[in-house]
Amino acid sequence: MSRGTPIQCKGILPGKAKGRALVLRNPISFQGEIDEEGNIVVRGHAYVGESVAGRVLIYPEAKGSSGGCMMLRLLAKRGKKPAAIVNTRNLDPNLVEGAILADVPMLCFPQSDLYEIISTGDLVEVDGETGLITKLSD
Amino acid sequence: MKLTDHERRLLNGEEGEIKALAMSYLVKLGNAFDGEEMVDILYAHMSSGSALREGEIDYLEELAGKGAKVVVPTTSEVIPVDLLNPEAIYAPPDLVAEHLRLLSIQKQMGIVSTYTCVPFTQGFVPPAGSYIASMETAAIIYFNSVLGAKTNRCGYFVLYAALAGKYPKIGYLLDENRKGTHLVSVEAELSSPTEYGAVGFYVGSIVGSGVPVFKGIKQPRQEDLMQLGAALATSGTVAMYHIPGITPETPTIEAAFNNHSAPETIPVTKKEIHKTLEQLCTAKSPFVDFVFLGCPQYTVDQVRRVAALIEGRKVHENTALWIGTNRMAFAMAERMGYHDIIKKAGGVLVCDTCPMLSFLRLDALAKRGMSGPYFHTMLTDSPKQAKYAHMTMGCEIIVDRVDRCVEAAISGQWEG
Repeated sequence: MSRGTPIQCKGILPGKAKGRALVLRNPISFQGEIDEEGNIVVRGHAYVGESVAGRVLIYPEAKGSSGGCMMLRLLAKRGKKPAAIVNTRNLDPNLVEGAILADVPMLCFPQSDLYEIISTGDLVEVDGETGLITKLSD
Repeated sequence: MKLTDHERRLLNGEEGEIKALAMSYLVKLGNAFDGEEMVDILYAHMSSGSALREGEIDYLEELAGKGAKVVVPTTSEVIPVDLLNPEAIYAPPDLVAEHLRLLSIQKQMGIVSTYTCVPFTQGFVPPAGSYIASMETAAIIYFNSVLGAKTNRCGYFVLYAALAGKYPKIGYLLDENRKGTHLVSVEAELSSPTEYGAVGFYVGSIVGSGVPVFKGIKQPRQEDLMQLGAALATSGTVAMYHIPGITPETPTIEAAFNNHSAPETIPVTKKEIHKTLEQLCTAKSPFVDFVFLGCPQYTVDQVRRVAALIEGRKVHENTALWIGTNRMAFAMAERMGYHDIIKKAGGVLVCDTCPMLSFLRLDALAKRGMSGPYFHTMLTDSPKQAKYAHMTMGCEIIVDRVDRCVEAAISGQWEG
């Protein structure tokens, strides 16, 4: 499965989005690990300094303090929110709250291993209504 | 999602635009999690709104201006400054003024301005089995595990839950999600809250969003369980744990796993505890300019203990000692003379705030044109504070138990 073939996930929050993927293999917290400008600020993280703004953020699940929801709302106000969020392992209500307030489409539980198919930088399209994620180009 | 007639009326705006707004968000949340119905909640613990995050206080003011009032008992989370003794921690006056504005907005909305991460130490003790809505991971895990009340890992939506008195029946509000997923065997005597915190931090990093079930923990104190939970929710996303025979939902290990066989055991010995505390330690030098106790906010008894340790002694001139607590514990510490003892020794009993969320954060300092870190090396008895202070305040960190923290505050140096 590669370019153009949609991968079925569970649609969590409706909305269509297109953006470059940012694929993280580990949980991340919007409180403390991503700053108010949308940059990843974990020392030693593979993507430290990388911005989540406009990206289709793919990672296993949320973690950390429940302030993460408010951070996502702030990022939206500042125009720095991710284009969409795809959680592969687990769905955290606190993060979903943030995504509702920030109006970010959300998917969860892909039926194929997204980490095998989509890499950071790939252009992907997401539909939160149907639950489909499609890789458009590398 | 199936709504009752009353819920439909709320959603349709028949009881005002505020309740309709609140219900619309709660329904979206419920739908995202395939929720089948709403429940009435008995209590809410909400984020206060912080002047450090753009627009939050203004948003509450806008809602209050439209007549928004909470319909269930509602407490509120810590803020970035101490409104009682702001000058003792050099809190910026403009931030203090902003949060005094917040206080009056909260009063108008019927919210109790506790500014605490541990409302259950201040009379807000929902009974086992009751549905509530709470943010603050350290409180959520305590409500679910120690009290047996039912809350999700809520965030901002606690506000809407408090305005509507409702929450979708999803996640940890459903009994099937409250069963154990991992069995943890504690094979060490735990002699301080900090060691409980280390166990929590280690286990949280393994179980992620699971529900750990502990065996080998004997007669923990309230403060021990506050640390255990806070740490589990810091390194992981744990919202619930069981200690069969001690926490209310599970009399036995078998019951904790719903009579399915327990999974493979995760052992925790002295070795894991020491290693966890060691790994949290980032400081290269033993000189500490900041000793912080009180994450989660200290109980009256913990304040008493610090007063006993420090009575008649003096905090080192190069070191600040803060003990974080809440207004109710502070009032009792005043009455009992603990506050006097701490103040005479040069320590500060701090209310309402918490370093990692305070004006001492690097982003908050940067907004004032100051480069951080404000404090270089923090010694704390809390793994939670250690992790977040390192990230948000840029402090180097040492974690040790309370009596050794107090000694270091006096000598200015940690005897590691």
